[in-house]
Amino acid sequence: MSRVEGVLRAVDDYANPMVVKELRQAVQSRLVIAVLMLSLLINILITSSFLASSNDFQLNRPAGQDLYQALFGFLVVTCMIFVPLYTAIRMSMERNHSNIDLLFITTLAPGSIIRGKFWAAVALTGLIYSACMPFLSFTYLLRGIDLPSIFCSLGFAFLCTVYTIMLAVFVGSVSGGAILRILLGLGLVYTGGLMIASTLGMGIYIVHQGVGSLFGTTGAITGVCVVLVSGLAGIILFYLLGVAAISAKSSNRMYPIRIFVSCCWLIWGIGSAIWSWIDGSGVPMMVWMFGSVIGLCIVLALILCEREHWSPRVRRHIPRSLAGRFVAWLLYTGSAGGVLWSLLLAGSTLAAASWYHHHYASQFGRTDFEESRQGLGIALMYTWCYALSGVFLRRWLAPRSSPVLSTVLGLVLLGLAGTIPLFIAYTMLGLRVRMHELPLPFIIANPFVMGDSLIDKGPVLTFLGCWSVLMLLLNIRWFRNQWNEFQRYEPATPADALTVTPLSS
Amino acid sequence: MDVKVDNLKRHFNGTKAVDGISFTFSSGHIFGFVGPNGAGKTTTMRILATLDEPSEGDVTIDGVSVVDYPEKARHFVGFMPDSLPAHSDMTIHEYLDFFARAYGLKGKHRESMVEKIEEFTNLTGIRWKFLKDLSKGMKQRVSLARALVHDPPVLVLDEPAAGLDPRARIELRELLKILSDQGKAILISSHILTELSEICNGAVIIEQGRLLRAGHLDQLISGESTERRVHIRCLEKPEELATALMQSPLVRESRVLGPVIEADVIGGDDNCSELLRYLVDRQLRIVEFHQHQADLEDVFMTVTKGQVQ
Repeated sequence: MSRVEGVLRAVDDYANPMVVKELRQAVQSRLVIAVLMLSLLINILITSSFLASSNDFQLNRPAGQDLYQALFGFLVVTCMIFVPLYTAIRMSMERNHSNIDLLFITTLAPGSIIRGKFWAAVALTGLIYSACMPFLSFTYLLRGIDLPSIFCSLGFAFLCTVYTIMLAVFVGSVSGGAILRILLGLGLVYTGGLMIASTLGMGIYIVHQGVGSLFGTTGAITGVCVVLVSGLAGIILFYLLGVAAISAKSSNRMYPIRIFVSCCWLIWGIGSAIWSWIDGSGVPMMVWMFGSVIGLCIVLALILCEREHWSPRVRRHIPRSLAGRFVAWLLYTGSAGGVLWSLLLAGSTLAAASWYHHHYASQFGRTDFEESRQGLGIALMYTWCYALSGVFLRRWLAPRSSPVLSTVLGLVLLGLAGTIPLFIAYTMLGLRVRMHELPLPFIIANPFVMGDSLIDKGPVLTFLGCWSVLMLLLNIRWFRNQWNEFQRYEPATPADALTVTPLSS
Repeated sequence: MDVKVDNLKRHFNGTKAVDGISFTFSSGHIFGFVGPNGAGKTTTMRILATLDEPSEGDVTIDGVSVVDYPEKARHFVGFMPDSLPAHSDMTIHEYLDFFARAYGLKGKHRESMVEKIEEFTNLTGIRWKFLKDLSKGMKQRVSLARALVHDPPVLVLDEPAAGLDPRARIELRELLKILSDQGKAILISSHILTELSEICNGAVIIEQGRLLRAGHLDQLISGESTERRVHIRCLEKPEELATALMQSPLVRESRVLGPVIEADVIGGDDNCSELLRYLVDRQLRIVEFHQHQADLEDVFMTVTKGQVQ
């Protein structure tokens, strides 16, 4: 065996099996081949029709820029619609309950599967890029465009595609009923649409402005860094969510996600504080406070879907010490601990932002920090109340049902409280009455109207305080039972188990 | 290598799909796993293959728990589910190569293993065919090849013979016998009990998630019968034979099946011998007298009630 063969064999052995499989399937897929051929054809058509119809190359018209925009638009639309949809649909088909074999019965780790799907889709994107690149490069020969702008806009579009691909892999990896899949699919299409629009806008903006003038300032570079870091964080989050979605139910699925989210929250908070301090502006802290609390409110509502009992597989990793066990309870998969974890992070966010504001109030200038903090506090309390009301109702109405029902019931309650009292109030009092003029009982359970600054928040806070405590008391057994069950499990070691006498059938 | 299923339970929202099953099987054994539809066979097998998690109990393979160490247990188990491979744009060889890679086989070892398995399952000639173009029997072969590709010591086969034509069934039976001779422990579920009787050393019978019988086939069959069924044919005067049987206190019931009369003899072999002597003493010219061997089907029909949950 020659050295080259040896290297190739080593690469072949090292390659992720899922990437090899996906790429083999892609190159044999009629759909992929058709898309590639179509891309080439459309590129040829666009370029040739543009060249045939333009006779003013000698004038000052930026012909290269015009042609580039058309080709760039086609490339972005192709990559950001076809590749994510192809990836999500393929993943979803393999995730199908009746088609278990490819994903679950080998020793391939869930992370390896998700990475394989991701890299295969990235390679497919690279293939489409390579088919379009000669045409895009050709535009440089015409007027009005420079190479850095071409590469910069293409790089940006590639990063956006990669982000959408990871989102698509996650969406495809979620198992569930047809309704959930359709909703997720629509979410993917919607997000994809937004990404396409922003990518096209940004790409064309880069080409028009030129890279040099665009990234000449510190602010622009900071902006690029923020976009890159948040994009990377998003990719890692969707990767972890995808891994959790295809991991065995008995595994500690949420642990890496909670660790990652906690780290992101902390780094973002520290980074915002430093940024605010250096810039002398409280805006980064405000953004962190809003982003964290709103995000954690959503997490708190969704976390109720997690399991309420632990398999031996999870329990064998629970620390023996009380403090370690408590930290593990917060971070490991599980609904009650998860509720406390999200509440703890959201509460800490408000406390940290308040502390910063107290010490550096001047940085916040004319921003309405107090009102924002109060609004976020109210949002958090509403989330807590509706979430725990959902838990209580489920335990009362259908104690044996899936924990998912807690979130569903909480959302149904929220929907009812947000519509029916308002409907009754407006039926009784007429449509001319303004929101803050409505009697309090009609709006007090409705978080959606609390943005109205004219509504007196004092009674609302009192009501929410009472409701929060009541829900805590009604669900204290739910918390206590999960805490009591969260005990370390000592499995029999394989060596011990071997000594057990076989059962006499 | 022992596979020990210990007090296995699996509940789905109040339904006890598996309710405290315990049994053991070992290397070189082929155990039939039988029960009516919805008895909990597939659920048990999925737990064995680490695809599902028991509510209680455990399965250990050579002492390794599928609950505690599923990743390790997967090395030991080759699972053939009841669903067949239906992936688009993939040939048989690529499919098996993917699984060999997924199980961590490298380089030439992987190549030789895939080739060996293709040869063993008679897929070599069609290895470049696409999966979607295969017949059901061929897909069953591919599925079996996939389960074997990492050379697991334990095979769990869920309805491998379902929908196969007679030739394919015979070939599958031969393959399983060879695998058993190689020392693999095989658990196979099927509704074709006559075929299971021919290849299995033992059987596990479950119904409504509960274990009804488990053990070696001989034990199961002999344990169930309290009487013998004999087929008798005489050279002439079959009506006299029928009368004689009705008059005998050793016979509980007899039926005329054309030239042969089937009789249920109370007790064991001694009474059969006594009955033969009695018939000969009555000057009946007996040309055929043989016991009908009870099989798995008889045991199954005796112990199950056909209840579903």
